[in-house]
Amino acid sequence: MKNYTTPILILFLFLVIAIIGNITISAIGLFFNHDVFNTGVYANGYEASLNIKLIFMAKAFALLMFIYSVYILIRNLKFLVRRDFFNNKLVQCFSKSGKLFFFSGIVGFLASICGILNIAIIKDFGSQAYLNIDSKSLYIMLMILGFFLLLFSKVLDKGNEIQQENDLTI
Amino acid sequence: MSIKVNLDIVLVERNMKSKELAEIIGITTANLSILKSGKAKAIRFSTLEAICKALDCQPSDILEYIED
Repeated sequence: MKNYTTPILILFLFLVIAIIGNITISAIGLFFNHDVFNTGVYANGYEASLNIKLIFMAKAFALLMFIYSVYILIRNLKFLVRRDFFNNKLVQCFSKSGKLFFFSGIVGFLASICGILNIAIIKDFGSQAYLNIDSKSLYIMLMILGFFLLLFSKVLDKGNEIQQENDLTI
Repeated sequence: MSIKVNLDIVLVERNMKSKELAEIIGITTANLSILKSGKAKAIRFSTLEAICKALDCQPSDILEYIED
């Protein structure tokens, strides 16, 4: 497990750069009405409505929450490396990141649905480029992962209790 | 907990030290201390048997039920 720590950290760094970079470039395009980096994706002079800006912010918030929950998991990797599974901190970490994964999944999924409805009802096709900072299936995966982590934290908590009982049996 | 461990009383009656008892029954003094302080969650029959044998007493001398 120890050998995997560095590749996991490098992957996390790539993930952070990709997500924050994507959000930043889209945000500049959306809020300054200008394709600053000449990506060709964003239309110059496009004036986004308040709906689109709110949906974008909700999606960005969900993605940032996703990064934070992955960070919590990575920060507590040391317990898994030491094979110290029955540990209160690990249980809390899984529980916290599980809730964050689940919540970010719900927020992102609802924002995606609102984005699709916005395009379908208002026919604001120019907003598509700004709302494509993520993949729709990512949020469903996040919800499943969050639910799994929450369940796993409950199992670890029960295991922790049994381990303590075993240690205190004389 | 409603089960009280009266091991310290029996030890005083037998004029025996905790360390001696721990050595006789083959458990660590730390574990014996957990048992005496009432922090133990459970006690094995083998441990109880060893304590009764070492102190020449009955399980009821060591364990007492107190209603909450």
